[in-house]
Amino acid sequence: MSLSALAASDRLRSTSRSRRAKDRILAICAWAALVVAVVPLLAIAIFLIGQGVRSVSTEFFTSDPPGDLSATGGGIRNAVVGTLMMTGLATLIAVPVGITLAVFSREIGGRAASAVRFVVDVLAGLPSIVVGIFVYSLVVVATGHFSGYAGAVALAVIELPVIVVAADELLRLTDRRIDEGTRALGMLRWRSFLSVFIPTALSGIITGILLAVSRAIGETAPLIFTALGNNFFTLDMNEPVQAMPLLIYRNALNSAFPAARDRAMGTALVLVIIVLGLNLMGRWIARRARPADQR
Amino acid sequence: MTILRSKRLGAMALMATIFVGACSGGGATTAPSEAPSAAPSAAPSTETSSAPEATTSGAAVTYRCSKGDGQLNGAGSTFIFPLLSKMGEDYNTKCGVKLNYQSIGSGGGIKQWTNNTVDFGASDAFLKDSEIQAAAANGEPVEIPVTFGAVVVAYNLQGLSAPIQMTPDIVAGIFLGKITKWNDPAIVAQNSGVNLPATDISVVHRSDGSGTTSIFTTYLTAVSQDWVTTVGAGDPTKSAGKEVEWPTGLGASGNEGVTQGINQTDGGVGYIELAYALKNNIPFATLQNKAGNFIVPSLDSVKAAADLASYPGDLRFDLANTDSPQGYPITGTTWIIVYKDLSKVLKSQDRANALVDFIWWAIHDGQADAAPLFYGSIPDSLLAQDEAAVKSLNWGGTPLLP
Amino acid sequence: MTTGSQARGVHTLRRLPGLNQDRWFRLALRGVAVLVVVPVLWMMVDTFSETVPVWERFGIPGFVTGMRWAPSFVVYGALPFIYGTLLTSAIAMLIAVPVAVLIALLITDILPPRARSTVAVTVDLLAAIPSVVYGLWGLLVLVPFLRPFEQAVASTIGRVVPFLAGPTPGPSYFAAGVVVSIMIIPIIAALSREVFAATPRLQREAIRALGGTRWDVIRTVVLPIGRSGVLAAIVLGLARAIGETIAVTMVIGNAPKIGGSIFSPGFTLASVIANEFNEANQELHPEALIALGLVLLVISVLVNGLAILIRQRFAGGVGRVA
Repeated sequence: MSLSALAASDRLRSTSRSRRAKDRILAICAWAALVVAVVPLLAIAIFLIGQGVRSVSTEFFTSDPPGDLSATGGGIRNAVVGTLMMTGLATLIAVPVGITLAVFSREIGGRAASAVRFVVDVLAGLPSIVVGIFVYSLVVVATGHFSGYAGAVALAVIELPVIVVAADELLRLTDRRIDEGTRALGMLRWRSFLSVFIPTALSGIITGILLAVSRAIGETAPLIFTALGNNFFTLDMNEPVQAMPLLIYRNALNSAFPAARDRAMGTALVLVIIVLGLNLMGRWIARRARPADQR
Repeated sequence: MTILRSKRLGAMALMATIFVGACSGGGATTAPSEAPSAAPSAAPSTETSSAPEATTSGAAVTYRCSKGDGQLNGAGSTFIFPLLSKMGEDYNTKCGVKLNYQSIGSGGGIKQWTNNTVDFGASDAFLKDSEIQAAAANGEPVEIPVTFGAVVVAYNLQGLSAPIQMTPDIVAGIFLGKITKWNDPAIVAQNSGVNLPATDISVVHRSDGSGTTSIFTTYLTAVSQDWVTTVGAGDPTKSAGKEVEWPTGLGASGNEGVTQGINQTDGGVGYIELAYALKNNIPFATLQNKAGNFIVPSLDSVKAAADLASYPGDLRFDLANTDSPQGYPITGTTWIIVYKDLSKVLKSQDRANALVDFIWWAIHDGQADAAPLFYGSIPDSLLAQDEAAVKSLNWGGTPLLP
Repeated sequence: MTTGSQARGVHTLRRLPGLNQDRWFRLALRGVAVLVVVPVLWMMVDTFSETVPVWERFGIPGFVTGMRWAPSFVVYGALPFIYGTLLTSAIAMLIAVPVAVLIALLITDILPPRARSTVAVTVDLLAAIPSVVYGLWGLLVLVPFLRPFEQAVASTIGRVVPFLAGPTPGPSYFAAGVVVSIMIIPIIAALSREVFAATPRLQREAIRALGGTRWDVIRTVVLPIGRSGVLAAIVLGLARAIGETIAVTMVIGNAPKIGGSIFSPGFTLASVIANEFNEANQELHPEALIALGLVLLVISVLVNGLAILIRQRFAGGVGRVA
């Protein structure tokens, strides 16, 4: 309904009581919706703390799971280190590639850029299990065994679209005058990107990286057929590697060994704290850089 | 998928060690523990190794404790997982070799063994001909039975005064989805005096390729024509196996998952290994066996079923629906599966030695770990064949065990 | 006037190596793009080429509409899983969409400005929780919690409507739908929020000036203008729901058949692959699972493509991933 029609209609003035009632109802429904969303958050928090906090201690991070799964004590050092190694490697792959693709998009533009953007969008929408299948065929079958490298590749594929989209949007926001300024100065293009555009967009890109990492850290499905999991501590990425989500997936429902289940619950608690922390950090950085934005 | 050749594998490990102070390293002579003629108690007692005696094969048992790479990788049965877990720990203490065992189900174990991503597989179902063929490029398999266990019908009902007694027809009826409530007349008829509620029966079965399923469905195939018709379309090779087309119920992964599924649904019922039921205090049914006796699953009834007069030469047999009058009708066997000629699949002869030494220990001293965990140990009548099987493992033709 | 850098700059313009450097730069960019895109495409083609025997055996329509999944009989059909995926997603959307849109409206139009970002961040935190944790909590807490409610419905309406009938073992399409809905609420809410926030202030204030309530503002300005944006948000939420794997596989009951009621156990495309892939060694089993992955990919690409289209029509590009 157009503004003038509205203004002309009697409705705004006459039925104020029913409109106010509807307004009330709306507010109540909206608050109810918020409760519906927040209650699970609280419930999960309470659940994790209740089940997991008794397992967490310094020993939890510095020692490995005991060989006899029914023994209490021990820790998840192998899972924490495994997660760090694989996510670290994944990020090391995804960030340069992602930023380069975003730069490609900006600099070359045209159909090539649209094509690349399309592929990235497809990757973004890929169910993570399908990513797992791809990397299984690509890496595990080719090398003949499961490995941390395969897991890292799978996580890199997960992180890539997030970074590309973040970098792309931020580069897009680069002030045209700055761009034109660099051209006027005759700056080499790669120089302008490296010294000007990317640093300007840096905080947003960092936010994107943090969000990508926080997503990759929590992923389980891509790791099931790639890194596989390992109950021993290893620094050798050529072996199967344990990761925190994998440990949870395989042990949290372990009715045969309650001690293993407790460790898995502790892992879940730690994992959620890490992921939420990264997420909040990313948002805080973004907000500091762009106060007007709600992101 | 193609058969792969790599050595290092992808297995999850369970071992590490906690020490059970026992034997010192190599050179110790010990005997196989508990022959069935010794009187084992059904209660969870700690069976210690008996004093050294001569083995049935006539020679003293020595353990070479080859180190190999310091680690062995295996995968498969969740049925045997509690026992292998303990065995690996004890073996590590004794010989310093870690056992990395991945409890992913017998189907998964066979697949990984076929693909040569593990050193050995463990399965509660012996290899099918098609599986042997699939692995043919890597060589001929040797299947070594190492333990026996009971698959129990566990259920979640509160406040019953006694365990439920079931005939084969009742078991089949439940898992066919024909008996849907706990106070069905068929069940009540066998259990007068037990106050059965009107709760819905909620079947839980395995969703992964499971040797436990194989044991259970082999039993059902043997005792129920209805099962064969409905699930196998008349074909007994289809109504029994690691995977079947379940008429009803929800699926869970591993013995652990089924235990969880039973536990959290009132009225839930499923089939799991005895150790899992006992560890989680889940009641299980007393089953009527072929001889007509109602048998409680226990170490004794497992042994009664497992102790055959003779075993086939290729060591592939099944114990379901046993003839033994005191035998538990759903008794299963777990085999360790390895390639006969390890030179084609393992990286080094050292590693092959380590593998063979472990298996040799597992069928002798390792058997001491079985009873405390309610698994049956290798009877005397089987041991000689098991030893022969291990001795047949070779490196390019040269036997690995002297 | 000519400072060192400017002199250098002018010098650069005429210097051939400079232009060559730019050209090298562009070449390198193209190189990286090719290096990334080609293996990705190759990976997809290679993986999916393995599924050819499945299509040959069952035919494309035969496989896609096949109702029976029985590896032991070498019979494979995708329909139970397509059904599961669609049903679970539908349940999830039915719950999540109204809740998420209402939350977005709450944040942009009802809450006082000071509270807005706190509430927004809190809701967004739901998106950060890993899938495996949702599955865990879902199975151990939510499923038992829902069961009495399910039984109540099944024993009343369920007697008349078979779709809502019992028995109610717990893990089911319904349970999976509820868990997934919680997971996608933040996505739809966040995107809708951006859309609503972009409503021109002038129009908002005009309605207020005329004496309109918040509801009037929303009804006449915010929703109509934001319609396509919200639609894009909904479609993206759907895309996420379709691909959700781990949480679903822990609460759906893993039954490869078409369950008669929403309280029956079932399977989705994603969850059956996660469950069966690692040990599929029956004839054609692994290939059939990859074929399911292909079906899932096609559905996923279609839904995502729809979202992109809607987003492009709604110029201003507020759609975001994750």
